[in-house]
Amino acid sequence: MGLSISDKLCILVFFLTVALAAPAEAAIVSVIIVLLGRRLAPPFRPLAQASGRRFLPVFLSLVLLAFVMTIVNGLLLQEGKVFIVAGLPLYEAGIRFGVKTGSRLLLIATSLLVFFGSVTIPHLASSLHRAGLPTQIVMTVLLTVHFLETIPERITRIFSAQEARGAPVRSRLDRRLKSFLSILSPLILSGIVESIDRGTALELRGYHAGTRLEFEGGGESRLSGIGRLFIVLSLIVIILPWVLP
Amino acid sequence: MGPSVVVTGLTFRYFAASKPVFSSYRVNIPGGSRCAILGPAGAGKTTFLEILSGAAASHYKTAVAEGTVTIGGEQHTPIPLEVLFPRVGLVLQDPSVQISGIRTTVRSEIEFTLENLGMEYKARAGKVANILERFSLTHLANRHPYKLSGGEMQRVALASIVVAEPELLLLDEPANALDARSRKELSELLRLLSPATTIVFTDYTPEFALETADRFILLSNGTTRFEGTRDEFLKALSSLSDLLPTEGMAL
Repeated sequence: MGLSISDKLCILVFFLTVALAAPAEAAIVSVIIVLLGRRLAPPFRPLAQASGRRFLPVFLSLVLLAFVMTIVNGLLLQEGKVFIVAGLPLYEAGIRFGVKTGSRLLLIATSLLVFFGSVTIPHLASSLHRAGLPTQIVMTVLLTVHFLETIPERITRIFSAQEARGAPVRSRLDRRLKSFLSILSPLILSGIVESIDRGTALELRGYHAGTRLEFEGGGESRLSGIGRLFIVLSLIVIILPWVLP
Repeated sequence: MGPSVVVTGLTFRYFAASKPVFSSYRVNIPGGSRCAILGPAGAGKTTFLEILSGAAASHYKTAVAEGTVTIGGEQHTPIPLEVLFPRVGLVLQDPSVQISGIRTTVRSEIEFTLENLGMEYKARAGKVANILERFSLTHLANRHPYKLSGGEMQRVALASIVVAEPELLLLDEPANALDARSRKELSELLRLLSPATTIVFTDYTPEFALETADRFILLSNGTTRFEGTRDEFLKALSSLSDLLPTEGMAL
């Protein structure tokens, strides 16, 4: 079964809507569906080995973050029953809020990761352009994604540079966190400098506000219409209870 | 024959109150020449190229300039106020910045320039095929531009500018980070482009310049310390060693 990028975009929008509008239980079930989809449905498998390798550590970090959010909320929102876990008083209302927020965050992040892992950026740009988005916006999307792609490499480079200067990047967690702060300013500065240089480079190659470009990418699949209809109906089902009295 | 470049009375500051990068600077680059602008870091080499390309006025909004820049008889007072591409092409120091990052093959990366110029598909295809062949990039045409070696990436960045057939080609430290073989290939390419194109490039060592240029300018703190032909430069080289690293060079 082949899915076009617009089908995938519709499915992404559906899961984002579930994350924002549906109850926490639906978000947790959706996370499982997204994970199964990534594992079993060929259109959602990662296209590059690197994105496949990075998925699990990132997902586990998100689960850890959701867990920490639940614990912190359980400690701070002091309403309802109290559960003593490892000597800590966790309140029911806080745990519920933490689970709700954590599961929503997990669903948003997981569906975005699966989506961007299973599409190529030029195909995404082509699809956006065909959907009627102006060249300038498509270019901005492409350049932003390109910049985001380079961030892990930049962090590694800056980390190596800091390590070469004796920064304790591989020692205790607190020291590592401290050294991580020291990479933020070079990371942000180098990002700003490169954005300016890249803008100059594009202008030096004749790119301007009125430029009409062609974007590389495959055609639509036959499932597009059905996919869109399914998503629109799903969105109505989710949003309707919020709108109706 | 490529256009001549005549700069007279150029004073350029990044801010009104800052120290001038150039002060009453004048230089004359003959049309069709391959001119090397040499000098230590901070001499004003990159700024000079940015001024000629029009990028300086376009991007440094706070800059203040006086003087006149004449490119092939076309006078710009005080300096070009907008990017002069495709008449003037500037190849940046870092090819990974020059490469757009939005195209997945070398072929479409080069084509991107022609799309910007509004060229039709049929005309583009022929031009791109031609430039790929001239720059020995045909075998790399379907490779990702970011998955090339430094020398290959430099060739792609250069090809992406040359495909627009600029009359004046400016290169900022093109031999920087290239190995000896890639440097030789680049030198041969630049030789082939002139005299139809006037070439101006910068470097901080004279090695690549001596392989490539027929005209030499030595910049230091925004003033010319030397200007002349290859023979004159070779004669003067020993007296310029305080500004140019020449140790271990085979002259």
